[in-house]
Parts: sequence; structure tokens; C-alpha cells
Amino acid sequence: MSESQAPSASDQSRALTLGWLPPLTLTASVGVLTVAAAFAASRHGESLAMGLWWTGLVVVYAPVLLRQLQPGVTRLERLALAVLLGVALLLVKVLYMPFQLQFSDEFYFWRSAMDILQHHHLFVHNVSLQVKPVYPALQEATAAVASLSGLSVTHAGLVVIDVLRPVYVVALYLFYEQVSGSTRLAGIASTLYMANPNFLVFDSLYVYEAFALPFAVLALYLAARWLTSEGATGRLPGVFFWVVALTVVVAHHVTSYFLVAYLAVWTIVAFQQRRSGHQARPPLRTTLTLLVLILAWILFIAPGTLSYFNGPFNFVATRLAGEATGKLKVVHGFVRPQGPLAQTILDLGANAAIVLILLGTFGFVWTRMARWVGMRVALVASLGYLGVLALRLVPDGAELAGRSMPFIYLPLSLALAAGLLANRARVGRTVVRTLLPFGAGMLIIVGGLASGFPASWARLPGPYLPASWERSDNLQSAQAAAWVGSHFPGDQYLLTDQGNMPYMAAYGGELPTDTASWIMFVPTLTTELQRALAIHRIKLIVVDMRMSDGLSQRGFYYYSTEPQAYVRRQPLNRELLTKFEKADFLDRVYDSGDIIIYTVRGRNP
Amino acid sequence: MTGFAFELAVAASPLLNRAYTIVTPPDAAVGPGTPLEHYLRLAAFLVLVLLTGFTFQEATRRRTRCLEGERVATTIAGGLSLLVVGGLLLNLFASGLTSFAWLRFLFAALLVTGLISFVRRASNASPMPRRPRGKKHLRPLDLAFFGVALLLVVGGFWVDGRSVVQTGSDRFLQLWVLPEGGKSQSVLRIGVGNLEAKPVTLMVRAELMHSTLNTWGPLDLAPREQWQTKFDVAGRAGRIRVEIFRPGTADGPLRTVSYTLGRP
Repeated sequence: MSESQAPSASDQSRALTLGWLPPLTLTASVGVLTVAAAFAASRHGESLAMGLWWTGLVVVYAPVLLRQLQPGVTRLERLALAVLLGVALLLVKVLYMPFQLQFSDEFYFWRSAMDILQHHHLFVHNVSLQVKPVYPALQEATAAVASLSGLSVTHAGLVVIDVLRPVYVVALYLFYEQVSGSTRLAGIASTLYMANPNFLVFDSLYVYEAFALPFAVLALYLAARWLTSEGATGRLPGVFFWVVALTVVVAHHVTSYFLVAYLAVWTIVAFQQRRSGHQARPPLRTTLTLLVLILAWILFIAPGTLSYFNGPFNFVATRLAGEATGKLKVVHGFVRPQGPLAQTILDLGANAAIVLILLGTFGFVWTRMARWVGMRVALVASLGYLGVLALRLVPDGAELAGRSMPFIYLPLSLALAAGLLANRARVGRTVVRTLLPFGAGMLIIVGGLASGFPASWARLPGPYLPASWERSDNLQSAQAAAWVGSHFPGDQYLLTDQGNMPYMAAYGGELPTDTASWIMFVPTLTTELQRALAIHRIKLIVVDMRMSDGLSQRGFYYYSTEPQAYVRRQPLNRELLTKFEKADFLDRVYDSGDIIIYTVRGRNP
Repeated sequence: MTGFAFELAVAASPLLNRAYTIVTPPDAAVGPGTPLEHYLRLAAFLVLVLLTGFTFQEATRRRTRCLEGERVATTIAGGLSLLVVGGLLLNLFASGLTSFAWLRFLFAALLVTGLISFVRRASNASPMPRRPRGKKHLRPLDLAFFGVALLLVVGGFWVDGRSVVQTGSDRFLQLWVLPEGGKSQSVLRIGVGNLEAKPVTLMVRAELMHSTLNTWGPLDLAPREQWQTKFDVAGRAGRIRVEIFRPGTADGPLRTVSYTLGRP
């Protein structure tokens, strides 16, 4: 299994050849071109767009996986193939949204970076940004790039995220190589990791997780190298590790928790290994020190993190408790990926393959890799995937499950890679020995894409869709928000839909709120409604008339418990949107055709 | 770095530039200068960050053999990590995170880590083991593969950019009215913005109680051009209605806004 240990001097001449890298670069570029054609076709409304998208991505992934599965490939080629795949997939994301931010969260980070540029200090409080300002690493780096280059915040932010891509991919490869001692396993595992549902788009976005993950993987590599190298000394890893780990703590809450959890699993497994007579160094002090660092950050800088997480976890817990006691009826069961049935089948097939490979080869790999403590840690940690699958069965747990994928895939990919090769060793016939791991690997890859972010309706760019995240991206909303930003004092409460909300928070500098959104669903305006606007301190109402032309693909326009949320079959009634015309306490101050902005007069009726 | 290369391509390519103009976000460049100057400054900044990252990892990492690819990752990550830690430090000072403060910090970090790595190298009897070096076998055919691949990726961006230009259908006109200076009721500011892809000719009309108070135009507005005027409404009360329409047509108003005078 561990056919190629970390490179030796004896094969240095061979190790420096590029092998199949040049032709595979060509196939990857054909895939990128095909995806570009898919995006162009989608913008023009062509039905073949989705087929082109799938074809392009398979052309990017498949040759790389096939090559990584082969024995006798040099380390340089394997590493270069991993980088090639990572960069090709980044290009796919860049082609989707070449010049701008698009995902709603990105706008909030834009605003947070802008706050740093304007105030020259970190941790600027802004109620609409929740905990983002207290995890400012991404915004700091963006502010530095923008202020020293003169670029806009958008372009500075995209540069920061893109520059980190090589770090991410190289660190992944190095980590896998270090813990498995095999360049082949490292190559296969890196390829499988890049099929995790969030890798293609979400972890290339201008969001703190995308910034923190490369540092977390690098920190794990540095720790693994320190723990597994012969002759390594000291009770704690060096300064470089701690600066990288601190960056993770400052960058993103969940990623830092993942980092400390992984080290904790390593500690437990290492103690168990020692009991079994194997050599292993448990990173107990490192884990505890990192835990103290994280807790100190929460306690002194980011106490709001606790209440931030309280929301989603409480929501799921309440739903579970409600169901257990019979007080609540299940609305959403197993959440399958939206879209064609074929994609659902791929998703289920991939999950079945993952579970089969993981459980079917666990014992074999565990025994074969007895000396490799890092490998055993990955095996134990990868069992967490079963928990993630269980989470998908919980009502409303699908989002939490989806968000955990980049983390759980880190050990899972290595376990799967080992499993694929273990299977290969057991099966006799040559053709089957080659095709079986490749087929299983491709099933995992396409399954990851099928269940991946964004949802199928936003997978390809296209015309505007109301209140539908990436597909609600449009210049009219952006310009309306910019107009608000240049004509009104900031930090005023504002009523608007999900599509315009990020724009108004970022470019408008206002505080979009959904506390009074129910007003939108009341047919006529009364003095009570005027009073409600005053109580909620709403100063501006932004109405997007396009909500009467199309359905929100998310299932709601304003808030998830609005009337007919998730079951609506008709767009919003136009009269609900035009009712503001008659109100004498509102001024219709802006009109761009689809977007109307009203200012609210007076304080009380 | 692909993003950086792409940004450069945007600056250089007329097609991508046009696409950029159509869908560009409304956040302006932070500093003065042309886009090319911004990218040159960005390149200089990245060199500084990478140099600092390199000396930082040389100064702090254990003297073990560096694997292929490792130094690239630790250099980039080291530079960016120092930026993050530097930001936390600068935040403690009253001047905060200004461009000058960033520069001072980066140069200081470069100096300190450079000195430490120099001393470590000079004092270390057994220098850090180097990875095996040898000739990389890059054949003409390999170069041809890379060249064609690059052309295909450029072609992909061309196809993508072209579709953005062709389908960038977000074309619209803006009309707004607001009291001048925020609260004054005696002067209104009326504005029109053209975000159509072509020049437009418009008339602006202000009405009160169905009688025309004033008209402006015809206004010829180029794409992305704005027109604004102040309108004296002292002594008037009631809801004033402002609309834009195309001159010489019987079509209704294209955009309508209103503002109520004489009420708090």
C-alpha cells in the first residue's frame, strides 16, 4: 500500500520528471473550457448547459484520479497534479462569478473589511454582521491589500482568497503524505478531498471559512510532521506552528474547533497506540494550549460566538424534541439535493459507496497501518462521517451536515483512499483491479458535486431569480444599495427581502432586519402597521417588484416562517408590494423600474 | 495567483474590461491611481509579503529537510499569518491599521526575521538539508501541451466574458428625489441615472396636484451618466410627484417618485 515513501535520493532523477502532467494539464483546460461553455450556454438559456457543466467537471477530475491511482508515479507529478486540480477548480469558480462577490455572506465580509478601512481598527461592532467582525483575519488581510495597492475591497478580497489556493492544496497533499507515508495515498486522498461538496464553490468564496481552512490544514501538517518525525524534540511545536494556529483562531470559529478536535483525537489514539506497544507522541500539551487560546479568544474578544451558535443548534434540538414528544410534525425529512432525480441517485450512490468502503476496509487498513498513528487518527476521525449522514436525517440538519463536509472530508478522504487501494489489493483480475477503485472514486466525486454547494438551481449562472442567493445577484440591487449608501446616514434599520438584504448591508451601510417583515404580507397599511414600523425603528423600505414575477428558489422571500414559506406555488401578489403607494407617511424617493425605495416619515402616528 | 493573473487580464483585455464595466460592483478603488497602477502596487505588496513570509519561516522553523512544495506553502501562509498577527498588534495603537502602519510593520518583520534567519544560517554548523536537485525533464512536447492548455483557458475566459457582455441585461434608469441637505423642506434634489447600455434622451417633469411645476430637458445621458438638479419648492405643500419620460412619445412615465411637502 505504501508503495512510495517520502522521496529518497536514489530515485531523484525519476522524481523530477513531470510524467503525465503536461497532457493532463491539457485535459484539465479542456474541462475548464467546457465549463465556460456551460456557463455561457446557461446565461443564454440553452438547455444543454447542465450537461456541459457535468462533462467539463468529469473531464477535469477523471484523468487526474486515474493517474493518481496508478503506481509508479513520481512525487513531483502527484503533487503537481493535486495543484493542477485545485487551480482548475478555482478557475471554474472564477468563471461563475468573474468580477464580483455573489454569495450573500461575501457582502457581509466586504462590509466588515470596509469598516476596518474606514475606522482603522478591528472589531467594529455592527449588528447585521453578527460575529464576523470578531473573527477578522480575512478582513485584516483584505484591508492591508486594499490600502496598500489601492484596489477595491472586492478585488483585494478575491486576490487574498485566490492566493491561498496553492497553500490549501499543497498543505493537503503534505498532510496526507506525512500521516500515511505514501505519495500515492496522498495523491488519491487529495483528489477525493477536492470532491467534497463545498470545495468547488463555497471554500473559494470571500468568506472566513475559505480563509481559515488552508491554515488549519497547514497547521495539521506541521503538527503531524513534528509528531511523526524521528529526532523531533520539544514538548510543543515551534513558533511557526503557533502563528499559523493563531491565524486559524482569529479567522474562523468552527475551523479552530475542528483543529483542536482533530488534535484531541490524535492525542487519544496516540495514548492507545502507546498502550499497544507502538511508538507515538500524544500532542496533549499542544491540544490543551490551543484549547486555552480558543477559549481566551471567545471569552475576551468574541463572547457573542456562543449565542451565535445557540440559534441553529437550538433549532435542530427543538425540532428533535418536538418530534420525540409528538408535539411537532416532521416537515422536512431526509433532505435530498434539489434538482433532477439523477442527481439524487448520484448523491445516494456516493454515500453508499463511502459507507461501504469505509466500513468494509476499516479493519484491514487499521491492521495494515498499525505503525502509522496519523493514519489511525484519520480512520477514527473519518467515522464522524456516519454522524454527519445521521444529521442529514434530522429535520433541518441538512445545512449543518453540509457545512461540516470540508472538515470531515479531511480524514475521510485518506480513509477512502486507503480503502480503495486495499480493495485493489484483494481483487484478482487486472481490469477489475484498475476499474473498481476508479469507478468508486468517480462515484464519490460526482456524488459530492451533486450534493454540493450551491443548490442545483444556482449551479449555473443565469437570469435573476428573486430572493435566491447567488441567482439574485444583479446590478440593479447593487446600484440601489449604493444609492442608499451615498444619500442616507448608515446603520438605519431597513426592511427588505433576502435578495436585497446583503447589498443593503454592504453597499448601503444600513441594518436590514426581518423583525417587521410580516408587514409585507398584510394586504393594507393601517395605523397599527405604521406604529409597528416606528417600534422597529424602520427608516427605509426597499421593495423589489420582481418578487411578483417569480418564486424564490430558497422557499421564502423575507423570512423562513413567513406565510406559505416552502409551499408557495405562486409569486407574491403584486398588490402586496404596491400597497405602500397609498400611505401618506411614506415617500417614494427612488425608482429604478424593479426596485422602489420608500422613506418612513415621523416617529409615531 | 490565478486570481491575480485574471485581474491583470481584466485590466489588459478590452472585452473583459467591457464585461467588467457592465457588472462591476459599486465599490470604488480604495486608493488613487489607474487600475494598472493598482496592480503594479499589488505586485510590489505581494513580493513584500512573500519575502517576509519566506524569512519568517526560515527564522522559525526547525532545521529539517524541506519537502518539495513545502516552502511555497509555508512562505505564502507565513506572510499572510504575519499580516493577521500584525493587524492584531497595530490595533493596539491609536493610529491603528493605516497603510503606513502596515508598511512599517512589514518592513520591521522582514528586518527582524531576516536577521534571525541569517544568524541561524551563519551559526549552524550543519545547514538545513536540501532536497535533491536534478534536471527537470521538460521536453518541447511538454511545453506545447502547456501552451495549448493556456490558450484553451484563455479561450474559456473569452467565451465566459462574451456571454456576460451579451446577456448583461441589467439595463435600467434611476430616478430619485430627496430633500436637499436631508431635512430641508424648501429645496428638493432630483436625480436621474442612466444605466442602460446606450445613450438615452429624457424629459423630467415635476407636478403638484396634477399641475406641472417645472420640466427639465431634453437631457442626453450617456451610459453610466447622472444628472442632478436642485428644485426650489419653498412655500408649497402637498405631495410633489416627479417623473421621467421619453420626449416626443405618448408613452407613460418611465419612472415616478414622490415627496410630501409641508409634513414632518
